[in-house]
Amino acid sequence: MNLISLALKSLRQRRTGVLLTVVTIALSVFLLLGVERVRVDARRGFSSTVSGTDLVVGARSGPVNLLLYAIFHVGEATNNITWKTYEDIRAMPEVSWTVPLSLGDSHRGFRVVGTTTDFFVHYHYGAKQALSFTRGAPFADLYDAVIGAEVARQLHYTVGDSIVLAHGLGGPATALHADKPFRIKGILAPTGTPVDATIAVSLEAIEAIHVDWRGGMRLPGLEASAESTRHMDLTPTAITACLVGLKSRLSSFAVQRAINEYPDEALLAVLPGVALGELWHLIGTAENALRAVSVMVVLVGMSGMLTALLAMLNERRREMAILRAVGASARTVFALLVIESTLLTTFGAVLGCLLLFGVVAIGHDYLLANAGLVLELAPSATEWWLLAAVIVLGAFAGAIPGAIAYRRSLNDGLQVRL
Amino acid sequence: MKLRTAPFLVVLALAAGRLPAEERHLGPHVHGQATLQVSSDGPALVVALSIPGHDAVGFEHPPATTEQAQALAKARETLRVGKWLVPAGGANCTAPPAKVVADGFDVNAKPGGHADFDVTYEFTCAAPEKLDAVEVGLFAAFPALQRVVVDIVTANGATQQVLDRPMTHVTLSP
Amino acid sequence: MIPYGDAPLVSCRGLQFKWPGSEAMLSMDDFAVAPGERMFLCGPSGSGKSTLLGLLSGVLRATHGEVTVLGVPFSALSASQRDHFRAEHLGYVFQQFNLLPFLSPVENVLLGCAWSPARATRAGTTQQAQRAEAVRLLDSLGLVAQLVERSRTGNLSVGQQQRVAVARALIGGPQLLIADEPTSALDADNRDAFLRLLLAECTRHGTGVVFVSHDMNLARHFDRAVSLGDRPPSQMVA
Repeated sequence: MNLISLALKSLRQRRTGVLLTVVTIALSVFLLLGVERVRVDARRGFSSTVSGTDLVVGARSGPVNLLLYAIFHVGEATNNITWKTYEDIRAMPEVSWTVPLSLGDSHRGFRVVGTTTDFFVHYHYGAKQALSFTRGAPFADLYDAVIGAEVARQLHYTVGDSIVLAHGLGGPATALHADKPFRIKGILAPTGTPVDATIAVSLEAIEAIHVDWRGGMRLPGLEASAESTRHMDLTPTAITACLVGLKSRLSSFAVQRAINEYPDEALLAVLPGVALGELWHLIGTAENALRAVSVMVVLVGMSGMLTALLAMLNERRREMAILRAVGASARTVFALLVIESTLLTTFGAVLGCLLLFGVVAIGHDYLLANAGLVLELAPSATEWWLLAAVIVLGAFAGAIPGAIAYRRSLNDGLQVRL
Repeated sequence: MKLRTAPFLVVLALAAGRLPAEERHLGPHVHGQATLQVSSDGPALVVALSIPGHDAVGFEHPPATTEQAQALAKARETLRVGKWLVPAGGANCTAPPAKVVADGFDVNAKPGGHADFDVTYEFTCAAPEKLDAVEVGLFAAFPALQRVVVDIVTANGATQQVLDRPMTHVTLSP
Repeated sequence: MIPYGDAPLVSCRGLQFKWPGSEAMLSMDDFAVAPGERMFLCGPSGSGKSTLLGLLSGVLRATHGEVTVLGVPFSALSASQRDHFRAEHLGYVFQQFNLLPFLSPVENVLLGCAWSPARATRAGTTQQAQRAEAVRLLDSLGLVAQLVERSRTGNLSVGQQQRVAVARALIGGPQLLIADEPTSALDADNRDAFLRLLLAECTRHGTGVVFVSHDMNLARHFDRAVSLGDRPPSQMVA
C-alpha cells in the first residue's frame, strides 16, 4: 500500500472535517482565480474594443472619462462638440477617416449611437477585425437601425421589426420618440465589445427625432411628422465624439496636439491605448487590493487546513505509532502529513476551478450584457501558475504538522503518551 | 433601466479626480518628469522629448551667471547629439543631430514662467522589424530627472510606459 | 545475509538508557533471547518494560551498551536502517488500539509487510497471494473469513482486534515478535485462547517471542520468564 492511498483512506475516515477544509480552500482558490480572470479578461476586452482607431476626439474632459463614455458608454457624459469642429478635424490633411458618434438616446436599456455608415467600415475590434452582419445590412433609410448581437438575442429582435427609441436613458417616466419608429435593417455579429449592446442609427435620424424637441420636451403645436421631417435639413449641429484614423502613425502626436490646441473649442484627443494605460494605472491600485485580499483569503484557507490537521494530530498519535511499529521511518510519517495537506489543497484547487468554470459558464451572458465583459472559460497561463503556487504552498503548510509528528515519533518511541 | 454602469463605479470614482493630462498649450509641467513620445511607421522612428528646464539645467530663467550659461550650452549639446537615446541594435537606426528648442531661457522670457526643452529625433531604420525596444538613458544624462512618461504609437497600437529612476528600457513590441 | 542460527536472536550487553530530561534509567547487563525462543518478560509498571521494547525494536537508541538482533549491532545502523531492519525482521503488537480504523482488517494485516519487500514476497508473490495469506493468518487465529472481509475494523471486538494485530505482526514470517501486554484488555477466557493461538502461530513460523505482561499467570505458556525490576533481572525457568 503506498503512502498516497494510505493518506486518502485516512482522509476518508475524517471526511466531515476534510470536506470543510476542502471547501474552504476551494472557495479561496475560486476567489483568487476569479479576480485574476476578471482582471485579465476585462483588460483584454477593453484593449480589443478600439483597435485600429488612432485617436478618439471629444470635448475637453479627462482622457479616461472621454474614452469610457464615447467607446464604452459608461461614466459621466462629456460635452458635445460642434459639427463645424468635426468637419475641421475631418479636413485635416493627416486625417484618413473619421467616424462621428452621437450618444444620448436609448432603447430598453441599450444605448443608441448615432453615426454614419463609415462606422461599419472603420470601426475595428480585437485583432483589427471589422464588423460583420449576421443578417441585413447597414442602415440606408432615415428610419433604419442596426442592432448589436446582444440586443437581438435579449430582445428577440430580427430584421424588419419596428422599434421605438426613448429620449435619454429610459426609465419609467421616459418620453418616447413614438411618432418616429425605426425599422431594424441589420444585425451585427457578436464582437464581445460594447457594440453588441448598441443600436446604431444615422446621425440624421438622431436629428430627425429631436427636430421638434426643445429643452427635453416635445414642443406642443410644432410636432413634425415622420414623413415631413424627411424634407427638413437634418445636418447635425453637434456630436458627442469622433473616432479618427490617420494616414501615418508618425503624425499621431502632432495631430493630437493640434486638436488639443484647437482654438475655437476646448477639445481633447486621446490615443486609446494611452488612455487605457492610464485607466489600468488608476484601477491598478484597486486591482492590487483585490489581489491582496484574495491572496489573504487563500492564506486563511491554508491556516484553516493547518488548524484542522494540527487538531487531528493528537488523536492520530496512535496511527503514527502503529506506522512506526510496522517499519515506517519518522521521515515517512513526515511525508504522510505533507502528502495529506497536498492532497487537501489539490482537491480544494480542483474544486475551486470547477466552481469558477461553473460560475463563468452561468454568468457569461449576464456579464456580457450588463458589463460588456467577456470571460474566458479556460484558465489562463497565469492561473495555472497561481494554482501550482497554491498547491506548493499547501505542501509546505503540511511540513508544520509533519515536523511535529516527526519529532514526536522520534521521541515517543512506540509508546503513545496521551 | 438596467444598472449598466455598476461594475465601473470604482473606475469612475477614481477617474473623477483626474485632471486632463493632454492639455498641451497649458502644458503639463512637472518638475522631475520628462515626456517622451515615440512613434514608428515603416522605417521611420520619431522620438520627441520634452524636459523641464529644472531637470535639464537646474533653473528656469535666462542664464544669469557664466556657470548657468555653460550648463545651458551643455544641456543643449547633450540633447542635440542625443547619445542617451539608443534604438534596439538589430534595427540599425540612424538619425541626424536634432534641433533643440529651448523655451523660456530667452532674455525676453516672461519672468517667473516655466522653461523647458523640446527636441525631436527622426531616425531611419534599416531593419525596422527588429525594432522591439529603445534604451532611454535620460536619468544618467540628467541626474535631477526622476520620471519619464513614454507614450508609444506603433503598428501594435498606442501604449504608455512610465520609467522611474533608474529604468532605461522601453518596449516597443507588445 | 544476516548470520543467524547459532547466534542468539537478541542479545544486550551493558545496556543503559536514559530518557532525555529524566533521572530514571534502565540498565541491563545481560539479556538474550535464543532463536525461536519464547520469553516472558514481567515487571511492575515503571520498570522500563516499554523502554526495553523500544530499544529492542530499534526505535530508541541505547545511551550506553549494545543491542544486537540477529547478529546485527544496532549501534552500527542509522535510524532509517534500524527502521528498515524492524520492518524486515520484527513484528510488534501493542497493548490495544492496534489497528488503523480506516483500513479493513485485511489491509491492516498487509500493513505488516508494507515496508518490507522481503516479507511481502514471503507472504505471497502477487497481491492476491498476499491477501490470501492475510486471510489464512486471520483464519488460523480464529477470525472467520466472512467477518474479516465484511466487517469494518471499528466494529471488531477488542479480542478480534488483537488477533488482527498478531496477524499483522506475523505476516511474512518475521524472526522476532514483540508483544507489549497484548492481553491486558482481554478477559481471562479470551486471554488464554488468544495466547495459545499466538504462540502456536509463532511456533509454525519459527518466530521468537518477547512477551511483556504484569500477569504472572501467563508465564507458564513460555519457555522462560524474566523479571524486570529494581533488582537485577532474575531468570526463572517455567
